[in-house]
Amino acid sequence: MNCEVCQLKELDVEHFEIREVLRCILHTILFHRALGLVRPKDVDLELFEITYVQCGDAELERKVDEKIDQFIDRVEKHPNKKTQICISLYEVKNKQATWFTNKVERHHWEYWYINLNVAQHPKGHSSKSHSSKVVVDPEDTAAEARRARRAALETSLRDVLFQIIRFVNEKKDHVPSIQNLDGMLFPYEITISSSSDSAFGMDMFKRMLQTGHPTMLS
Amino acid sequence: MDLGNYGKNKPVTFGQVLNRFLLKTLQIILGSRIPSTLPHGWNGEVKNSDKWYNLVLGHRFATMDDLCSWTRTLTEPMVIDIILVRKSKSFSIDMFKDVILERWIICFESQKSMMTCEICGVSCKKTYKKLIILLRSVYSILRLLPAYQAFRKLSSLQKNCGFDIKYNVCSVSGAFSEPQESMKGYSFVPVEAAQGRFGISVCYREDLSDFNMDGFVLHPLEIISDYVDSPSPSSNSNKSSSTIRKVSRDAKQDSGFPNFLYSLRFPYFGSSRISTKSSLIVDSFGDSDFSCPFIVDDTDPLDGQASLKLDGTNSAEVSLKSQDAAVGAVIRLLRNAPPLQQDPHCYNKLEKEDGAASESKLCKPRKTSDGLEELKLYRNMKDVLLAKNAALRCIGKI
Repeated sequence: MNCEVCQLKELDVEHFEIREVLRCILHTILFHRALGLVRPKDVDLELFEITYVQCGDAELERKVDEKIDQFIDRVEKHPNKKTQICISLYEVKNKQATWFTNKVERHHWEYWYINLNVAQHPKGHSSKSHSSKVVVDPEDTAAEARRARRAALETSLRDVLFQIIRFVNEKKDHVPSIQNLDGMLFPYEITISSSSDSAFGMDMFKRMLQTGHPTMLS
Repeated sequence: MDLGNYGKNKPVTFGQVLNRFLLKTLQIILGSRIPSTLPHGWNGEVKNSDKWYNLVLGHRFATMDDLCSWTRTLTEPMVIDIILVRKSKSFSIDMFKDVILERWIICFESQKSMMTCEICGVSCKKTYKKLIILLRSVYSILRLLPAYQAFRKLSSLQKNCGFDIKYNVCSVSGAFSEPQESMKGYSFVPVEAAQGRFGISVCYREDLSDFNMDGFVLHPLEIISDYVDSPSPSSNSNKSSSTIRKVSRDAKQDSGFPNFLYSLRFPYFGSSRISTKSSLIVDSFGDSDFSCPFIVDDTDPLDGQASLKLDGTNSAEVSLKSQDAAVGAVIRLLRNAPPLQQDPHCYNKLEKEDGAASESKLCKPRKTSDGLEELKLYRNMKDVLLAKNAALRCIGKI
């Protein structure tokens, strides 16, 4: 079976925007891959005029938020590195343990790479910029620049959502059968990686080809 | 809903897969655009029919059950128009006419003599999986298109909103009354099946800023008792004249598709204008028959508009001596004409303005004398038009 990879368009975000942006993107991907019975839930973003769709599953929401927290921690600890979040979907090929190994073989059939370029601000400064009551820069030009940046990010986020929709429509043959689907969603994992150089993505891809599944980088 | 587990005593046929695909698509679109379809007091009960394509939606609306057997022909496309309709006459004349916000076209192109009773096999189940993905993306994209904001505004303001959103479902895709450059298109990748190809596409109005929907909120009338300044009579008449000229111009300049014909070519569901195709087959899952004759809308959006003259007077008297008046008479005749098809099983359902369905009524059979009277009227109209035409030719020769 083929393995398809989707590198989503990179987004420039402020620290306080990470959670909303990641929730939107992660849930949109998962909604399109939750081919079991779903009662969709519409969610409005607070920072942008965008509505995205969740699967309406509390456990899934909890797991996604957990991963987002890990991502934010990673960004704060390594502000100079580019941090990437990846959703991979797989099939479990061998559930039975053997004499020599308990390893469960996973065959990944799809990878989604979400690339956020987080603006480097001190934590205290970014929280101030989130508050509408604290005037950081009284000049109109600075406020106008923020509005323009926010509008550009909204447009880019919308582009990413369209990119997801285009990808899931163009690539369908590699999706496994839903006959034996256990639950709502195919088995998946969300991994967070960071690298200090531009070869980061290529490292991930090479590792994927060699081992068939990504490993967590420390 | 897993095809393998659905009604273990009832094997699923390809015809059901197709029919339910069309229904589910319709449900997804209308549920994201028409506030009146939102459930009132829905208790969350999920029927088996809700589980098709593993997408449970809570939306119910009166015409849904009637449309269950929509595609008896199955190969005809289903065209869904989402239309912005003004509710009050107190707004700017610029916002006067109905506007198509989106046109969705859902179709199935059969590649061979399709057997709708063909039991779903492995190939069909693969198709079903792909259709699930397709419908997921349709659901998502409906929230990203501009019309979604209009839907949300209407949902939140409800009766205080100066506009409404209606829908129209038919199998004819007519011309837009709007300039094509204002519309943008998006086509989903078709899903190929052994029996044919499923396709969904949408034309949508990209920019809704012209409609100034924030200004559509209705306000109660206020009498300003201490108003000091008042415009001069001359400025008033100039404004009304220019307004009237604009109305007349707009009424004439609909690009090749006058509004009065709109109701003839676009049968309406879910609004005061209803018409459907006839002789439909009962769906095997208990959905009822629904066949309706073609009914012309009896509300002419040009009422009171096209008849305004430049001097501001309303020419309510239409003289048959003028060619325009003769055309107007023909239009009124067509508007008031009874249904073209007289199916004894047909009925039409009229909806009240609040969207609730009213009682059905049966069409009365027509007599020969009715037909003869109509024929006489048509002959008179024809004579008037020919006489006028001859008169104009004579004038031209002088």
